[in-house]
Amino acid sequence: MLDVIDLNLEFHDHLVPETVVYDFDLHMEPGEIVGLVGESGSGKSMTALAIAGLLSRHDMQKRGKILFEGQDLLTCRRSELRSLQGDDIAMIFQEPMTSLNPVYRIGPQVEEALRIHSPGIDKEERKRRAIQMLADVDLEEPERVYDAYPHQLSGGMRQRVMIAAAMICGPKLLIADEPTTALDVTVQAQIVKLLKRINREKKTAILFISHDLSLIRQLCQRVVVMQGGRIVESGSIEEVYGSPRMEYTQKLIAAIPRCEKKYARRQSGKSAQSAKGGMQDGR
Amino acid sequence: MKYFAKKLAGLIATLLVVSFLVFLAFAVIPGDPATAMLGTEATPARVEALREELGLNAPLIERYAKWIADFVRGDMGTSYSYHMAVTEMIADKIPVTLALTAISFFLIVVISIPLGITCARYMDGALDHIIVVANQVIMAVPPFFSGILITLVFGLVLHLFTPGGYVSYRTDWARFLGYMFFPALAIALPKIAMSTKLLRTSVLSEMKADYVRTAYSRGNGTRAVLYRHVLKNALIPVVTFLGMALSDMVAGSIIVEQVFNVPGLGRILLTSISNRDYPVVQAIIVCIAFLVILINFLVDLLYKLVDPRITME
Amino acid sequence: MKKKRSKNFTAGAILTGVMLLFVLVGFFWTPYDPETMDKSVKLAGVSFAHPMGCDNFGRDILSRVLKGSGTTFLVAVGTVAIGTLCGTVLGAFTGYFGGIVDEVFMRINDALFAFPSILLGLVFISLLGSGKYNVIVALGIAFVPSFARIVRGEFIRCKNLDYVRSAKLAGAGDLRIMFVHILPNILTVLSSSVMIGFNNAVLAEAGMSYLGIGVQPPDASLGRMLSEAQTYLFSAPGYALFPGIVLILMVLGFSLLSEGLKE
Repeated sequence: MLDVIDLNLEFHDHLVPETVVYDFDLHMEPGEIVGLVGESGSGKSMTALAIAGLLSRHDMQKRGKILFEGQDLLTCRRSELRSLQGDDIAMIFQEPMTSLNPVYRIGPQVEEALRIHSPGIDKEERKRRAIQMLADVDLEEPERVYDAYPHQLSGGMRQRVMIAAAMICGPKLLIADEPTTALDVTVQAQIVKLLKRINREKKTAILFISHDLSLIRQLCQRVVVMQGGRIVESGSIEEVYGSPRMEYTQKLIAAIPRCEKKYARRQSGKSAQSAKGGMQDGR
Repeated sequence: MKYFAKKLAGLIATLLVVSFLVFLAFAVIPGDPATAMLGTEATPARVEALREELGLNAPLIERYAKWIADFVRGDMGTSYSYHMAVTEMIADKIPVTLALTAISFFLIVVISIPLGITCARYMDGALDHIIVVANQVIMAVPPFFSGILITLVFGLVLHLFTPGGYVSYRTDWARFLGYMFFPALAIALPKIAMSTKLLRTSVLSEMKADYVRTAYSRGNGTRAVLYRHVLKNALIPVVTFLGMALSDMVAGSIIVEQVFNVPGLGRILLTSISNRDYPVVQAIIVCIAFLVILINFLVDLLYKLVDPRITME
Repeated sequence: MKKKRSKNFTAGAILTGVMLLFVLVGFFWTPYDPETMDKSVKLAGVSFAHPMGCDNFGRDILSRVLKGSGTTFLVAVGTVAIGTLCGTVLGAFTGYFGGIVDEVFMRINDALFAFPSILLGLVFISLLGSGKYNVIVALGIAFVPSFARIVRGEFIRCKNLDYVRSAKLAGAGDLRIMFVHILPNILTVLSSSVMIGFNNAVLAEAGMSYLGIGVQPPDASLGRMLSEAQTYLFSAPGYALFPGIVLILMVLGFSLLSEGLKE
């Protein structure tokens, strides 16, 4: 579904051109959850923005290919890219506080992608679907949330709203750029659970970007580790966590607090089983 | 609703403080109104009688209470020099000044908002550069001088209007508006420049906000992002500015009325200042102050409409 | 962006320098006596002898503009001096000490804020009478509220900062803290508002003199020249244009400078 081949991102806003991503490769199957991990400044967010088609600054150069269902997002026309954005490719961001427009109510913002990509749907139907979507992301009193302004909601609620807005058109790929970093630990776990459920129920592939290995472990099947703009390691969760080849990855794993690490291991074992079980049930 | 009630209470308090300050200022000035009305040859007995009649011997607070009560009922006192009711003198002047302010406000809004957006959208383009420089110069031109330039160019050279040929709104509405357009433009010009500049800066800084990235991620084009998402946010500081500009414009109209020979509040205020006709000056000042406070009140309400985050603390 | 701002500053500095020089020259030397009337050159146009032409009494416009911009400049400086001085002291005390005095003062200040400063100036002029010094006092008082408000805000911001606390612990008195420790730290903010205030004062003085209630003859004033010139606008446009342009350049210099100062 998604193939990123030899992606290079280079900024020209300083005197010396600065490359932030080198030869990035990624393959994703439909319905898969892939984790992209690395410390801040490792280029993971830039990669995510590039895949979402949101890097359109004039002072940068993008080389390589980003193939989404065979179409290259780097060379296709703006209108073609726009018709994918919000419809087949959706994105949620790190800062739920500022990622919603403060002067509009939640409802129109959740519906927006639907309004743009399915103009045939009338107002009442849009509202019905938006409220359904808000209920689907476990927001209580979705009607009230629909009429609320962003500043009236908590951070966790806003991130749920962002997820609802991203999922409204039923995208094939959801890019989640550190969606839990700005949230409390308990809320983090809930959001991860929600993403997992969405992936299971709607078969949406998720590219989950985080610097938190324990979260990645709870959620993802595969993981890609980045350092200094390059991929240093990639593979299934079991491979990477069980026997990390690179020293850098070892350090990252070692940095997970101890008791949480045990817990995470147990959890990932369980969830791998339950995911299998779920798939069997699905059949 | 609670917001409205609190703002309304604040409005009334400010109105009382302002009117009391003005009253106080005119109460402490040397010179006796009774002597002023009767002339210097009047006998002390007659002066004393008039003082009693005018209530000048009562304590200050009592006099203020009576004055403000009369004022609210529409009795603004009697002019020293014309011996007629002040209300009567200024009643038909107020609409003229109001119309002048309203037209220039209209010009500011319809010119500066599209211009500011265009500048931001085509930032660093030729048009943007020209407008940025022009703005800087226009901001430095005082309204009465731009009034003189407008008279020279549009009136004397291009003959688009007759300088000094004011037509009353009672005679002919259309010609009244046609004439008022030019003084209104003179008042509006520097404010248009400032408002354009402010909106340009505001749009440019909002375009960097996180919600803009969200909007793009949903498949919005630049135009949709600009008009559907950024504009309302970017207008918030402009609304504040326009509120402040309005009160400035009411005062500016006093001067520009002189340039274009418009018989509004400004003319009568100046005559009264020269004649030391205090009841008239006092009434006009209070009227203008009330107008300004009322405008600020409306702007506060408008602000609440534009920005849902505003709450009363 | 950064480059552009420094361009503003350079242009502003040059323009302000030229205008200051112009004003300074006007104090000591004018090509003709600004009051001498010469019927033979009544409303004369631009010539080598009279670079800006002559007015309806045959007075040399350049000489009058030189004198007039000096008057305008003095009035503006006086106004800003009064406004800044009183405003700073008022704002410093109310902001630093707070309490009931601050509360009352801010109420009055808010109320005065409802008046555009030129209107406030008009009120004081109508109480004091017109003339150069009365204009300075009237406009000066009218400018106090805006300065006081800015200084008060800055003092409230600064009074809880660490350096103020440590000065207090070291035993410095309130007055010393206010004017030795805090004041230098708000100078950037203050200097920017002084420049804007200067411009507003220039415009207010010109406006009042134009209305005939500001500076009175024999003092020359740019505003007054403009009002006299209006009658001869068609026959001698230079009579109005030159004083107006000088006025604009004076304001423009400072506005560019304050723009550049804001970084």
